[in-house]
Amino acid sequence: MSSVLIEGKNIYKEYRSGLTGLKHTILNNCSIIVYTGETVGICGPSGSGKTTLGRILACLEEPDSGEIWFQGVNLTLTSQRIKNEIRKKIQVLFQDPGGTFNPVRKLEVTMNRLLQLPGVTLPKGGWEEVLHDVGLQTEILARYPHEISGGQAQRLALARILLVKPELIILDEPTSGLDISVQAQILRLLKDIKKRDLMTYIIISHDKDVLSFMSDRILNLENGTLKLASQAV
Amino acid sequence: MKATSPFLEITDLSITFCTPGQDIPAVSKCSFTVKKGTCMAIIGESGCGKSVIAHAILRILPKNSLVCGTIRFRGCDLYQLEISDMEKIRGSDIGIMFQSPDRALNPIYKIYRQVKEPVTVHQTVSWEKQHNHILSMLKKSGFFDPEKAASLYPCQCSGGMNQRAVTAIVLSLKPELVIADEPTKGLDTARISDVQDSLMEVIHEDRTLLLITHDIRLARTIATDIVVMYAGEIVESGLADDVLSDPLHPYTKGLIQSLPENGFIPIPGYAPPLTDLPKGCRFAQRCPYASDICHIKPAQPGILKGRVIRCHQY
Repeated sequence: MSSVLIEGKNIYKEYRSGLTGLKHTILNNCSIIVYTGETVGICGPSGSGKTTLGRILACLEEPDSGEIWFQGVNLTLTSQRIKNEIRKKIQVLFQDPGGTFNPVRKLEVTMNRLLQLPGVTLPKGGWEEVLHDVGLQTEILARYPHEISGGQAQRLALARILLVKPELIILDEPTSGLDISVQAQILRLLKDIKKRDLMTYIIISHDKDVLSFMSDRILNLENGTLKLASQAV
Repeated sequence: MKATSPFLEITDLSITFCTPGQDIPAVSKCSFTVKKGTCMAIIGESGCGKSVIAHAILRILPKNSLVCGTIRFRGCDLYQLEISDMEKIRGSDIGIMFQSPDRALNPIYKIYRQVKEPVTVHQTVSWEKQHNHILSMLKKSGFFDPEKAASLYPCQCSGGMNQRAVTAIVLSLKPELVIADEPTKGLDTARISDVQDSLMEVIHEDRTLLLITHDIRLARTIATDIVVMYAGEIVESGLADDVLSDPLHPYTKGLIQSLPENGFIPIPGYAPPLTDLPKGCRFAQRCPYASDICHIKPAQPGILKGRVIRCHQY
């Protein structure tokens, strides 16, 4: 049995509506365990809190109560310095990564800025090697974000994530809004990366076909809690 | 039995966006007809020109666009009409559900006002009956409590609710031709089913639907005819059942293979940029059957098995 990579214990999160002041409980006593090398799918209707859970697990948001443990470290109690270190190991691939690139700078500027982060270096083969791994060519770096397609933006965002060498990637609706053929390309690529780097994924989607194709286990988020929906045999 | 007269007839439609430094041929020589009371689906990858055709029908393209060819609606060339006549057609005769309803709705008006606006502008319903008409349209579009839905701002609604509000706005004028541009994009399964029901109702009321989507399963469920577009060109068109069950063009074959039930097998490579189109067939670089001629000479549309196909193989 693999070791536990990340665990969320009894997570509670509520939002207050700015207009009415009413409280909405998003996550209620929600718990999740993800083992190293596993792909866990999270499904649920729109607004059920899937993205909120992903953001909390990625340390992008604080839960109101509950604990997040990553490789034996309690992230809710640990110092900011250690938390920042761990954040690098948990990366998120967003639904529309095109919006995460600076729209007025060429992509090479955005990508090169990543190299200023401590511990992030290019491999021997440079950008060519990094981009080749995700099926892109270096000429794409000379373009602006609006000059690339949704599938290319998703691949470039993935290249950016892989450069940081994460141990867990949270995929938040990674193929929503993409064409069926591009969707198939991205899913196959993610599977190849998992095989090559023994990556762990949490994949959030409302598309049952995508989840069945990718996941070892599928959890259903409803009324703020997770329940096992299906498991690969 | 449905009437078969051409209701919408598009002939040799080419649309070019003229930008400083380069012209972008978004649509090239596209021709198809839509019969009254049927659903025509346009499928293809993002950027292949599907939405541009929809905007061209309504004459809402940006000013830098150059339109060649004809678009005839009920026999009338839309590009020969005065702007004032075109304004009368928009909404009341041809309605469009824009993609991304969150952006299509005005964020500072309540849903009620947004459904009311087209009814007031086109004066299709008397003032006394407007209130009931708006609520009935909201109910028909899937809101169980239309009074409550009418009192909400778009930011208080989920993506699915906003999609239903857009549907109510379009259907409030009962247009003869409804253009649905990616009506299910980003929606969950339950919401897709809601949208599908409201689109089916359009056809059942003997109105005409032009469905623009990359959701092949949605197209298979509701479309009578289908047009497959690639890089601004129509590569295959015909009856939806025939095209989707026995695709002839390599691109259509690739799309069908990419479906989840076929194992998510992608088409390798990318569509060429519209600013740098290849000399020969636009799909040749990704086509597993491409021969030398495909890279040299563009394929011309021909007719095979009752459908139009653009491929050197046939």
